[in-house]
Amino acid sequence: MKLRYCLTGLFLLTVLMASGQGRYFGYTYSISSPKSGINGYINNISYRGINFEGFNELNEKFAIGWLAGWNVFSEKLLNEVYVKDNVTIKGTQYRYMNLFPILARGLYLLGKQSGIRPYLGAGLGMTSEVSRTDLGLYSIKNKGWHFTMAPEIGINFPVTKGLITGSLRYAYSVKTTDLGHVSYLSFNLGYLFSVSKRPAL
Amino acid sequence: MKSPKYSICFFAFMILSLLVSCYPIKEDLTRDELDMVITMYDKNYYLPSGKNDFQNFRTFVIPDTIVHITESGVTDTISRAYDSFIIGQVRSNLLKAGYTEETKPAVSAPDIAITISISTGKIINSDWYQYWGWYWPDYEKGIAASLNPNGHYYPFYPPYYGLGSTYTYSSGTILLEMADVSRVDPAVNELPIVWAGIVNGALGGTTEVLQSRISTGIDQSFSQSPYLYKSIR
Repeated sequence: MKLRYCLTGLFLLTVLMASGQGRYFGYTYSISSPKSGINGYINNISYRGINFEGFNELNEKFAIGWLAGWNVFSEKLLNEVYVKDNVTIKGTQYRYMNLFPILARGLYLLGKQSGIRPYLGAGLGMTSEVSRTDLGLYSIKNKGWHFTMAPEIGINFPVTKGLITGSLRYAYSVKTTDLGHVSYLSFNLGYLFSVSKRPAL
Repeated sequence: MKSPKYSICFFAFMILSLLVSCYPIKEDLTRDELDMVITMYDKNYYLPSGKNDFQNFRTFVIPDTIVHITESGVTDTISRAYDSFIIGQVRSNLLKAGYTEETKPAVSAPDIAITISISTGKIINSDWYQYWGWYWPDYEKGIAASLNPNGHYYPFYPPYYGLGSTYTYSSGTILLEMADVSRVDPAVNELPIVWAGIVNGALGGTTEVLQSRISTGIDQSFSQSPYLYKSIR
């Protein structure tokens, strides 16, 4: 619990305290592929994802950023048979997993400041998991918070009054007392507004 | 004054957020998609590793009355229109599995007795968390009880959580229970249940549709319990 507060605080500090040469924020659409921890439960690619994110350039090469996202995984399993110990259950299942990552990010920017800039990044934070399995007339729900690590690679294209940003992010959320680990690979594409005083292109 | 670009950004974010739903599979469910079959066996009688005492059972009896499980003091409004159909389906499956019906149980005790119970109820936004809600009737007390892996009975109550009523279903449950007759002790008000099948679903539909779903559910409860079938199968 304390860790969650610390990381949330770190996230807010990142947003509020950072200042520098360029500041950007905006949103990205996210497509995610389930990986270890999810793909035994839901195998479908998620086309429902959104991130609210931004970063602040500290100098020519480094930036710190933040991200708050939402990825929805879902799958319907028709007449699935589930066996656990001496119990067998058969019924149509609807499986849902909602993941809400909140990350503080560090970015290493390549290229020149006014040009196309690939970057390497790493995020740390928390992910809220809300999952639900509907089986027959009943639902099984699970909720919890994971500690999350999220390395990423991306590229920023300068455009009028901002950036078009694309990234590939692998998010790994560790297991908790009640929940197993979850991980997914997301492709993110969006637009970040420039809010710095430095003239944008 | 707010910058227009902030407003545009916020508006776009809100629109996109609305497009992302927590539970996005939006289909018109048919009633049979809500049907569920649960079976459970006593591990003292069967283990997947090899032990199967169900093979020792040869004869069965089915009481001619289906037990209606209702709350204490509540009038029984459960229809008996499907009783004979349900009993027939259970009998048919047992015969198919290789058992013989004992027609004179008073003279020659059968190996197993299959009791059938029905309960109905409303499900209001019911949440079923990590444990399974077993409805295991205690015949004398008329309350729900559950069987733990060691074969003991504990009182158990349906897991209703009033977390906001967003939908309501009328549900029906058929409970099949197999008792080992040789272990019945008249001094104890409990039956030694060794297997159970639960067929649960939303009520409604025509007689033909309902019979079809009942039939499918009962057949499924046997077919997903292959250890019940005689090895000659």
